[in-house]
Amino acid sequence: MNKIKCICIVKGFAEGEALISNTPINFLTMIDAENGEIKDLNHCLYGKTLRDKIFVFPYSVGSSVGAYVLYSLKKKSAAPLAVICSSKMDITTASACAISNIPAVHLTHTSSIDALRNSRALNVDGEREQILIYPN
Amino acid sequence: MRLTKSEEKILAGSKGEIYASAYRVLLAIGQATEAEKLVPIEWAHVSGVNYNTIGNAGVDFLQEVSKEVRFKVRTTINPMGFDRTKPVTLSKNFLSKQMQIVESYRRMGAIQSYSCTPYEIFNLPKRGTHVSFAESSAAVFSNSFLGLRTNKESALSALASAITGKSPYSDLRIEESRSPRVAVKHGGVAINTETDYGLLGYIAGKIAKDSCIAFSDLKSEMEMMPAKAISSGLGTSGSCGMLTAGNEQAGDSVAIDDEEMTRAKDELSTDEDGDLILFGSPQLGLSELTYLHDLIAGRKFDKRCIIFCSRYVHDQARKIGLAAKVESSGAEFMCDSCMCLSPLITRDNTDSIITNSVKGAYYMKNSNRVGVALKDMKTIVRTYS
Repeated sequence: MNKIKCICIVKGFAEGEALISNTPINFLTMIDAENGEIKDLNHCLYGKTLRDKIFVFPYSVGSSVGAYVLYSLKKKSAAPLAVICSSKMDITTASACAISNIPAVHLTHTSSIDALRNSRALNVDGEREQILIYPN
Repeated sequence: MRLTKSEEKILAGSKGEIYASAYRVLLAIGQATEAEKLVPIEWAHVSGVNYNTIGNAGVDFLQEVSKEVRFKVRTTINPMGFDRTKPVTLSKNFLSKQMQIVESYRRMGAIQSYSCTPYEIFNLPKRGTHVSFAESSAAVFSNSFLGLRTNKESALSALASAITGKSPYSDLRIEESRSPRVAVKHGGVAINTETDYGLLGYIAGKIAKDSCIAFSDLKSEMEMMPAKAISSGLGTSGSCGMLTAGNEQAGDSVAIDDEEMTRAKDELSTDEDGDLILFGSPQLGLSELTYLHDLIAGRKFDKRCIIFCSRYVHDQARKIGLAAKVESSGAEFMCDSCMCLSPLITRDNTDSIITNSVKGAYYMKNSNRVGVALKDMKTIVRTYS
């Protein structure tokens, strides 16, 4: 089991399977606010859902209203268990997670994202600012 | 981030759960952007007004918040779903949800602006003033061309600023962060029309990792129409909240060539032609209306043409006779609303639209899911009148 450091933005604890996007996310246009599915046809994770996943992505882009999409997902029990921003924690993601009580961290090194791949599950610990990686 | 004793108390719940939540948001974004403290802001511009953008969860959330909260600073709001003065063809459900949102913002003390271009409507604070603007195009424009200071706020962070009158002192609020480290060079690529500017901004948004980016091959003086186009293009694709134009010193540079421009255009422009012409993302101002009038004078559009603009701009255009002149081309005004996620345009009633706006094209294609023919205003007028 590997362990990497992270910086905690919204406190909390979560354990689950990782869903990793290599490209930035526009929550408003790419995510279905009803069920958490990635609805962008051109996205490599098209059809997959954020629901009950540890959602890993570089940072969010575009619409300021994207924050409401994460909030809606939380209200519909379709939110990710936690989010990990691999490049930087942006304002849209941070504000949405704070309102929705979704644990949110960002990696201290962008390259740490490689360590998250090929994992069976991740354990995000906001208090200790660490991510445990259960290997495949 | 350090909070003052009184801020700590509110965070702990002394003024109730809503105010505590607002401070939780400010704390989170402050930590995300490595702020040391909160600073007062003079103006908040909040997004999340159109029911299509926030859904039922947003309606309920705003209703709860509005029971306890009165905005502390001047707060303007983004477009809603339709024109308040026109007969509504939308579902009863949309109408009632939209009016609940409007009522919540009204109760909290928002100015009923329904505009994504507040900088064209309201008196501007002096350069260097801290504001908190959601609406990505307005944040980029205000930082870049008006010298106002805001980060690229989210709907919820701008709301938290409206409630508390504060925002974390970080990133684009700090002088040093407002100097770009990377410059986009477009060299020989012809950037002439507003659509070219929009595409250039859209491409740069995908490249930019920092909060500020330079366009070193552009002239530093920019007219309103290209300035709005490049700001909204940048805001659509990226997380970048500011641009500089002109021969700015920047450490690194990224070259953009014709091929890249074509690729971006092909991504957004899915169709050669469309059923409906849409102008106004961001909503048109008087300068763009004047330009449109000069192009269309004496001619008539041969397709339905909708112009989205704020009620303030529309009323002013009406007073000076410009609105009537533009309408004589067959074009119609749609106030209070914007083409992005407009409930008026769906796959059920429209196959594809024609627009000059890169931002509009992006949302029409990806959210409204209709086809898009992206052409500049001059070409649109020439082709369809």
